[in-house]
Amino acid sequence: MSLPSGTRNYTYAQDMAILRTKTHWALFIGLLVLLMAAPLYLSNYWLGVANLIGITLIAAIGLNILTGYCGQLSIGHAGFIAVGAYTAAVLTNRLELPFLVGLISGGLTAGAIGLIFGLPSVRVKGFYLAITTIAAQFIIIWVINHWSVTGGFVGIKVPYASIGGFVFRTETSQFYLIATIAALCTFFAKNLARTRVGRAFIAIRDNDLAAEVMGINLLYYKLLAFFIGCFMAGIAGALLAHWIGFLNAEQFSLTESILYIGMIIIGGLGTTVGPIFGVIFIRLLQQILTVQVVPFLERTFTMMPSGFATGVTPMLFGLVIILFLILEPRGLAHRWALLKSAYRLWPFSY
Amino acid sequence: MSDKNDVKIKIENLSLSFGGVKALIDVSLEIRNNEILAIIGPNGAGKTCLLNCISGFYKPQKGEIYFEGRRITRIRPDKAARLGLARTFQNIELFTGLSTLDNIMAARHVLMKQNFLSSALYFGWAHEEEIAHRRTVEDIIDFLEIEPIRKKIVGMLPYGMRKRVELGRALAIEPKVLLLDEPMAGMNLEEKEDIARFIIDIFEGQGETYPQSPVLRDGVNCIVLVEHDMGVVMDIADRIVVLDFGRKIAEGTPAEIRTNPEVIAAYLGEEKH
Amino acid sequence: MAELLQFTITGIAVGMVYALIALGFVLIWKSSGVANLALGQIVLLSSWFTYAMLVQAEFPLWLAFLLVILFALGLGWMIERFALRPLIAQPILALITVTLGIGYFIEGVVIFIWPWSVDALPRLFPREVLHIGPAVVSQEYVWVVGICLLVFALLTLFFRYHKMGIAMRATADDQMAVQACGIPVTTVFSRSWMFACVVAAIGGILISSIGGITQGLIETGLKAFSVVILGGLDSFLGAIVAGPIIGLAESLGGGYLTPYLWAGVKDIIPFIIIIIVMIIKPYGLFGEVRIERI
Repeated sequence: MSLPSGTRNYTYAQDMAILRTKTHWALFIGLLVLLMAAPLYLSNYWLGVANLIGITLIAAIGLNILTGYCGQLSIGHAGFIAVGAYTAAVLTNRLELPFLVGLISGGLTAGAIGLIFGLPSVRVKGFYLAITTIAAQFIIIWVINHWSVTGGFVGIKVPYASIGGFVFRTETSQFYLIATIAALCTFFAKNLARTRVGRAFIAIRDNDLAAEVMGINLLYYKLLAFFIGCFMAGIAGALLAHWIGFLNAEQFSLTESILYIGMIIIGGLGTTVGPIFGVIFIRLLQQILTVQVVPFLERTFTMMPSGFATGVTPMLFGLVIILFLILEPRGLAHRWALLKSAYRLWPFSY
Repeated sequence: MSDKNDVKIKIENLSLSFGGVKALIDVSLEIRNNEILAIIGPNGAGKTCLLNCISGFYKPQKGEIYFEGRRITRIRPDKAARLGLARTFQNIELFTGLSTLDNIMAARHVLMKQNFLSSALYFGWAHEEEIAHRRTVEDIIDFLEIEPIRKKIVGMLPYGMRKRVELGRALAIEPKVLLLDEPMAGMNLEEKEDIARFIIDIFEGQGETYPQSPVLRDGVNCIVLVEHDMGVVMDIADRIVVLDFGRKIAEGTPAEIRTNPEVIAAYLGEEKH
Repeated sequence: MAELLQFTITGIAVGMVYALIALGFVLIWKSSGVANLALGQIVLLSSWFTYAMLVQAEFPLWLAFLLVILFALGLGWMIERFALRPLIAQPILALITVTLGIGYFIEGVVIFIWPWSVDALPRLFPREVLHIGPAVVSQEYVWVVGICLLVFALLTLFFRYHKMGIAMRATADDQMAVQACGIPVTTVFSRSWMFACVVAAIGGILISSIGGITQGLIETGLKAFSVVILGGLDSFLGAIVAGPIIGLAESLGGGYLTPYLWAGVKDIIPFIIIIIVMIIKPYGLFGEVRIERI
C-alpha cells in the first residue's frame, strides 16, 4: 500500500495494517455509515438493486478466491449458487427447518459439491478444468430440473428468511442481513489474502510446481479453494432464494456463470476490491440497460427490430468483457489504484 | 555447528528415464553433513534430474534415495520440503505476482500453523504468527542485501536480484539440506563473487549477527551445488561429483578431480601444450 | 433390432458432426494453444447465416454455400484479428475468457437479427428413405457421414502435406522457433481460425439440416467439447474417433435408458462422459500427456 509521504512504519504490525492513517480510518468509518444508512436515502426499488448487488458480491468474492487468487478457472459458478439456493429452499420449504439451518446447509452443500467437481483440478489445469466446471454446471441444472424434490421444471417457492421470531419481509430488513454477510465475506477474503492460506493460493496460481517444492500441499489447497469459493456461492444462493421467493433453474444458466467470470475480470482478478467494482459495474449496467436505455431507444426509434431488447444485452456485455480484456486486463481495481496514486501525487502524477 | 560428518542423503543406484531417454543411469552417491558438495558435468548430464529426484519431482524407475536414514524415493515434493530439503532452480521459479517479501513469507508455509479459519479471522493468533515469521524473513532479506526491493513485485526485478530472492526463499524453509541448481548462471564476475560469499556465509552461519533467526544463526550445514563455473566450484566445494551422460564418472576432492583423466576428457577439456 | 440399427446410424451421423465441430476446436488449439469456447455460438451463427442465404435471400444452393464459406472465413479472420491478436502474450485465463465474451456477443447478434430463434433449413438432401437391413433411415444421415468423412480426409491431407498445414503444426509446438524460421505466426493463427470457422459452419449446416436451427445449437457446441476431451485436445484422430462414440452413447443411451430413468437423459450423457474422462484419463484417448519441466 502506498502511503502519504511522511508516514513512517515503526512496527511490522503497522506495515501490515490495512487502515494505517487517520484518513484511512475516517474514510472507512464514513463508508460504513453511508452503507448502514442506505435505507434512509434509497428508494425501495434501489434497495432491491442493492440487495441483488450484495448477494452477487458474496458469490463473486468466492469466485475471486477460487479463480483470482488460486487460479483455478471455474465457469460453473451459477451451478454452485443454484445448489445453495435449492438446498435452502428445500430445507425451509419442504422440511420447514429454520432459515439459519438452510443458510449454513446451503453453503456446506455447495462447498461439498464444489469439492467433488473440483477433484480434477489436482490433475489438470486451464481449459480442462474449465470444461469440467461447465459440465458440472450442466449436470447440476439437469438434476434440479429432473428431480421432484427440487420442483422439476416448475420451480419451488421459498418462504421469507427469519431469525428468532423476526421475519425478513422488507427490502430494508434484508438489506441489513445481506450487507452484513457481504461485509463479513469481504473481511474474511481480505484476511485470507494476506496470510498463509492466501499466499499458498497465489503461489499455486503463479507457479504450482514451485509451490509444491516449497512445501504447499497442492491437493489440499486446491480443494480448499474450491470449498471456500463454492461455500460462498452457496451462501449467496441461499440468500438469493429467500430474497426472490421463487426459484427456477433458468435463473442459474451458463450465461450467469459467464457473467460472474466477467465480473471478477472487469473488477480485477485477485484483488480485494475487484469483486466489489466488478459486481457493481455489471449489475448497474444491467439495470440501466433493461430499465432505462432500451425502453428509451425503443420509444425514440420506432424502427427498431424486434430482437433489439433481448439481443442488445448479450451483445453489449460480450463486448464489454472483450474490451476490458484487451484494454484493461487488470480491471477496475487497477484503475482505482492508479487514481489513488494520481490523487496522492498531484500535481506530479503522470 | 555439529562436527559430525554423517550422511544426510544417500542415493543408491538411481536410474531415471523418460521414454527412451536415459537421464540417470545407476547413480550412487552420499551427501554428508558439514560439507559443500558440488555436482558438475556437461549439459544434459543429468544434474538437474538428480536434484529433481531428490525433491520428489521426478519419480525414478529404479534405485532409492534416503534422507537421514528415511526412504524418500518418489516422495511428494511438499513432504520433502517439510522434511527439510530446500532448493533453488536453474530457471528461476519465483511467484511472479508476489513481492519479494511475500515470496519469502510464502516459503515460511511449512513452519506456520495457521489454517483457513484462523487466517480468515486474522486478529489474534494469525496476526501474532505473521509478525513472528516476518522477523525472520526480514533478517533473511537483510542478510542477502535485498532490502531495497522488498516490496517490489518479483516479475519486474532484474535477473541477478531474482536469483537472490530465490536463495532467500529456499533459506526461509530453514532447511537441513540446501540444493542449489546453478545459482550463478548468467551472472558477471562481481555478482558471482557475491553469491559465492553468500553461500559460504550460509554454510558457516552468522552467529551473533542474527541471534533470533535460527537459519542464519546456525547456518545450513549441508549444501549441494550444481554449477558450471569451475573457478567457483574449485574454490568453495569440499567434495565434487562429476556426472556425464547420466553416469557418475568421478568423485573426490577438488585436487583429485582436477587431475582425473576421465573428467578432463569429458568436461574440462584437454590440456594444450 | 430395427430400433438398434436406427439408433446406431443416427448416433454415428450426429457423432460425426460433433467430430467435425470438434476438429475446428482442435485446429485452433493445436496451432495457438487457445481454447475456443465460442464454438457453439459460431455454429449457431453460421447456421442462421445459411438460413438467411437460402431462405431469406433465396439464393441458389451453390451460391448460398459459397457465401457461407466466405462468411465463415471472414468471421474467423475478424475474431482472430480484433479479439485475439491484441491478447497474444496474455495468460491462458484471459484467452479463454475472451472467447467466452465473443460467444456471448455472437449470441446477442443472433437474437438481434433473427429474434424468432427457431427455424428450419430447407431440405438439402434427397428425400427418399433407405432400407438398411430392417431399419428405415432417412438418406440425409448417410449424406452427413459422407460429407464429414470427406472433410476429414481433406484436412488430414492438408495438415500432412500443405505448407500452411505443416506451419500450423510447427506453431503449435514452438511459436518462437517458427518465427525464427520466418513464418509469421500471426498468419498461422489467422488461417487456423478461418479454417476452424469454416469447419464449424459446415458442421452447423449439417446438423441444422437434421434438427433445425434452435438455441440448442450452442449446447451442441458444448457437446463437441466432450468429443474433444474424450479424443484428446490436440488429436485430430481422437476427435474423429471420439465423435461417433459420443454420438452413439447419446443415441443409444437416450433411446434405451429414457423409459427407465428420466426423460432428457440423452442431453446429459456427453457431460457425464466429460466427468468420467477427467477422472480416469484426463488427456483423452489420443491426447499427449504434458510433462512439465522445472
